[in-house]
This record gives sequence, C-alpha cells and structure tokens, in this order.
Amino acid sequence: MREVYQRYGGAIQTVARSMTREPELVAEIVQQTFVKAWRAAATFEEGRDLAPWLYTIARRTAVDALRREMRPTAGDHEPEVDVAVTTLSFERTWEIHEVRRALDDLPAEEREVVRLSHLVGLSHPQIADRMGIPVGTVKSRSARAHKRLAVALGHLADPPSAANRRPGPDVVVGEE
Amino acid sequence: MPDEPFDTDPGIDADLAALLAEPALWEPVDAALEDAVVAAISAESAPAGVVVPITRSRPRLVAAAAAVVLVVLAVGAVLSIRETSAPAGIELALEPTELAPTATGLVSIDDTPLGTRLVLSVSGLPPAANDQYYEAWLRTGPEAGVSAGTFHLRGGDGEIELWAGVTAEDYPLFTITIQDEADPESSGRVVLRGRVAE
Repeated sequence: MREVYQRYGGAIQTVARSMTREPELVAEIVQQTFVKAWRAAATFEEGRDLAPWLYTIARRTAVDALRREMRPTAGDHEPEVDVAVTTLSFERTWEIHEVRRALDDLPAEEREVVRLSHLVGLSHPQIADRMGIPVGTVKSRSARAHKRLAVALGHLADPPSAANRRPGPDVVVGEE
Repeated sequence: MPDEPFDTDPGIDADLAALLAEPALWEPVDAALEDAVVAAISAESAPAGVVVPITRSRPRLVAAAAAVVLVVLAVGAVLSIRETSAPAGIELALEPTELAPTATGLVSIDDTPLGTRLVLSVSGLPPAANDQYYEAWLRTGPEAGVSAGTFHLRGGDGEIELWAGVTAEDYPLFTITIQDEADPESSGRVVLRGRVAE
C-alpha cells in the first residue's frame, strides 16, 4: 500500500486540494480514498490502470466530504437537507490529476526547472542563477521536460470524446 | 538571444501553462499522511478491538498508526489487499456484459439511516433510446431484486445518485438493466453487474 500511495498519493492529494483549501479536509479525503480503494480491491482486476479508478473514488469522496461540510445542520442535530456542491468539473479535476501525475514522473531536475518557471515565474537566466547551472542546461532541461509533458498529456489535448474521456473507472471484475 | 517564454513552447498550450501555475500541483506529498493511510488500512484487518477511526486530527492519526502497526506486527498479521470482505462504504467495480462490452462502472454503496445510498459512475454506456431507460437493481439473484432507480444518460456520462430500501448485505448483486418504457418489470437485459463480496 505504501508503494501505491507513493505512486498515486500526489495526484490524489492534488485532486483533493483542487476541491478544498482546508488542509485537514484534504488529508481526510486522501485517507478515505485509499481506505475505500483498499476495501474495494477485491473487485479490481489486476493489470488494469489504477489511476482512473483511484481518481473516481477520490473525487466522489471529496464531493461527499464537501457536501457534508456545507450542510447547514452539520452541527449537533440531524441533517435535514442535502446540499448541492459546486466545484470544479469531473473533467477539470481529471486534467489536474493527470498533470500532477505527469509532473511526478519527470526527473527531479527537469521538474524543478518547470516549477521555477511556471509557479515561481522565473526566466531562464534567473533559474540558472537559482540552481547554479548554465543557462544552456536550463534550456535543454526545459525543452526535455516540456516534451515529456506534451507526450504524457496528449490525451488531454483533444476535444472530449468517448475515446479520450478517461476519468471513468476503467475496471472490469468478476462477480465474485 | 532572449529567453523564449514557456507559454510559447510548441508542446504546451496556454491552458496547460495556466494549470502549471497552480500551487496545488506543486505541493509535496504529505509524508505523515502516508503513515495514517497505512495505519487506517492496517486497522481494517487488525484483530477485533483495535480501531483506528478516520479522523481529521493528524497527530492522533500518526500516533494511532504507530500503535496499530505495532499490534499488527505483534500478532504477525499479514496484510493482503485481496483479503477484505466489503463492510459499509463499499466501492464496487462493475463488469460489462455482452450487451455493452465497452461499458465500465463503479458504484459506491453506503448504508445510511435513510436507506442504501448508491452513487454510480459509468462510462461507455450509450444514452438510452427515447422509449427506453436504464434501471439499477439490488438483487439476491436473478429471481429476486429491488429497484434502486432509473436513469437515461442522455446528457452524457457522469455520476448518478440512487437510493434503495434494502441493504447490499442482504441483496449483494448489483445490476443495471436496459428497460422498455412499456414494461416496468425487469427486462433481464443486464448491461453492467457486480457482486459485493460476502
């Protein structure tokens, strides 16, 4: 389970974080996602891609958690009404999930160049100065990283269709 | 030669560039949470009396994690991801039939004080024709079942919330049938199915 968490935990955490800014709620969503996945593991066919399945569980867990948090009667008495939760779309959070997975798969030195560029907003010379490497190295790392990202995220670039809408759980199981 | 800004990189479109500026994408994985997850899962198969609740207090989770791990190690428990049966809060993957071989589905089943809440996610099922609809069932077998509601998917795939007045413990077989409006009885034409482990 640690291996699964280490591989997919970042993406699941990002999905939760994209739906709530409450750190404790993020932690709860991530934890419940993996617990639910473990409970359902017997129904998961070995060899299938785990990511869409985990994503679906995570998103639903997050929606349920947000709905519970937003209930006007979440205090000491029984809930009386259900509450619609407005959040990022299924597809948008899937994109975020996939981008996080692609970033996690980058070599650390390339990932850092992308982070400093896009998150921090540094130029190539500034990144070179910050990392203590030549500008040319920054450029080559940047080019490689962006190429990897473009390949890894190619399925998100096309218009939505049945073929590339991957957020659905891509799992098939036997009855027992 | 001036730097080229990343947002003109031929492999990265503006939408992705905007996404990459989201702090949430760059937050490191919570290492303490890893221990909490492992502890919570360990508790699922720990001996009776060892309980680690899902809680929002991280320090307590970590402490509970350590305690449970010790207990589990002490009794020589071997964790197996396939040993679990399905308690409350079930995530059940659905198997397609030959009527919808490309369909996939996942149903979350929660036993609540109001009834059994089912949240269904499907993909690959075509929208029902105008004189047809899909119906979800909790069944004991082919002969006996209780409807959990109907839907048509004419707006596309997505999540569907359904309710049933029976429990998945008593009715462990979950099926989705394609129905004709003219006949309210189960058509028997199952497109997705799954069984809760007993």
